[in-house]
Amino acid sequence: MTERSVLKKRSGKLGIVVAAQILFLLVLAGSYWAAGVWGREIRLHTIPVDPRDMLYGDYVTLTYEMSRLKPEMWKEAGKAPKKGDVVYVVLMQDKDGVFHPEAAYGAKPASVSGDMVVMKGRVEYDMGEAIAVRYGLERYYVPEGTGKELEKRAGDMVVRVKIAPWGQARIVGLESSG
Amino acid sequence: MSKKWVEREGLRWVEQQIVTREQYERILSLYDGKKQSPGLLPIFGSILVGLGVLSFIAANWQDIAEGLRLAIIIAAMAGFYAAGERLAARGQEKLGIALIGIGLISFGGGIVLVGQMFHLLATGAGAMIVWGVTGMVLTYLYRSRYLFTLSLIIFNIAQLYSTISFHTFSYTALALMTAGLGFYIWKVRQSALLMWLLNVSLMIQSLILIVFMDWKPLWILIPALLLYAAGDWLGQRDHAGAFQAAPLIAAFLMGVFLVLFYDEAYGNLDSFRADASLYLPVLLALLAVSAAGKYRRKREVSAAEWLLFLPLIYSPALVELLYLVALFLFSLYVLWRGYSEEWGFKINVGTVLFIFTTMIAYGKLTWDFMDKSLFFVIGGVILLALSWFLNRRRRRFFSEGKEGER
Repeated sequence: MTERSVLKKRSGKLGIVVAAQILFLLVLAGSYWAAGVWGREIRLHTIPVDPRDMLYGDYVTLTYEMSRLKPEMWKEAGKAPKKGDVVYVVLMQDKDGVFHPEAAYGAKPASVSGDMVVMKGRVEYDMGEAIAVRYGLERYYVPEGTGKELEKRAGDMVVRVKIAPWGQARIVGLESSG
Repeated sequence: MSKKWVEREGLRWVEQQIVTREQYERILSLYDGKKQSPGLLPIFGSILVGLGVLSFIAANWQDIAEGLRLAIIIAAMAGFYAAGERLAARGQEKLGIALIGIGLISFGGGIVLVGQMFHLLATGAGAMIVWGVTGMVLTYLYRSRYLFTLSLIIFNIAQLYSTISFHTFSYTALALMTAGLGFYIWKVRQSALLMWLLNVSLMIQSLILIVFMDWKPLWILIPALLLYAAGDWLGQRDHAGAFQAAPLIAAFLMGVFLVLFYDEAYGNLDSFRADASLYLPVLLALLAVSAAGKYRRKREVSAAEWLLFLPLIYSPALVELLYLVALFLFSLYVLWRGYSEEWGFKINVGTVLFIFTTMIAYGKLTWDFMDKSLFFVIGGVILLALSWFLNRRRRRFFSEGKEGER
């Protein structure tokens, strides 16, 4: 029965494809879960932005201090980075344990001191007076319909982020500042 | 063709003794509605259930622990795939593929869910590209037009996501889509519909690239002409037609765009014009490729379609008028081909294009000079007169009993 064997072969192939999808989801989830367990916790300040586009469905959009870099923080020779460029931003810890942006580079700095961390981001646009950078941490999902309350405070909060030794970063919680 | 139509027209053939009563019954039985399997129903069902899965996740059901949520979506996904394969293997091909489609949508749901669990904005469109590639693999596995279309949609969403959320155009997504699905059309299934869909996607992605890069709008004609010229080399006529439809639509819309927004008085030519020293050589080279293809396949007459690609924008004056004339001539060409090929669909398209161009010309030329109410009245009268004239022409054509499928 050739037709049957063709069909059998197909269902075998489907099995492999489905297993690959399951594996992909588990690895993706597992790596971020692991980042939460073994990552180093840092605290970041948010800043207020135009409130119109903050709540977008069921998540709150967060904008950080490090999302808007002053042009003088760019330490590479030559022009400021363009839209879409990858930048490495060095953050320094203050006495309250909150991290603030210090400098930005086009390549990853070889080593930084213990009170500093390096975040990888992508340039969103260059406004001249500030370079807008995205890190992939700009979204905080909330239960449906509860975003409005949080939205009001989203411009002045401290966000707890875990950074894994292999570079992945994720939000683990929000708290009010001060 | 609908059964009702055959039923009605067939009676006339019997009356005029073209066919016998018995032959009429036999012809009718060919169009038995029961034999046509309801191919669209499972597909709509599949899309609805898939959307349900996605919105279920998007609703952010916090009451269930995260790990359990992930387990549920994985189980649902595997279940849909397994059930789909079972049905397909037992001969319920359409329904089976519909369930496989839900499995694929659930996989995307799983990716979204992981993003929500960890508050990720993801780190690129990478995960979505993995999703699209999965759809592509399934397309090859099941030889399905539906899965092909789903994969195309996923790749387009991935591209939009990449440019809007990450400010990078994903050349990877574009290349994988073109290579994977293009190869499928080329080697596995030469279908006019799939060619059309793929080229619509390619034009959409070209548009995204041009807008994102802030290039001059005129550049859209280059990928359009590239696809168009490639279509000239296709052996089968209807394939070439399907292949070239999307680039022609894009070029036509570009012409409309220029007529509407170009304004000589403001001298805003530079915001439209591409750098001529780069643009014109590429354009000429592609036109040459197109010409060679047309000559080889003996379709020289279709060279009239080049009207839409002519670099009229570099004319020192009367740019709008030149584009309007090109649009008119193109519409007339489509009408003329429709009549001479005796193909109703083309006649209808030509009619619509002609009326549309007329309205644009009218709006562009008169809006500034005419009282508003007069504008609408005269415009309406022009439209009514045109549609009366074109319809009469069309009806005469159809009533001559010449309507063929092509």
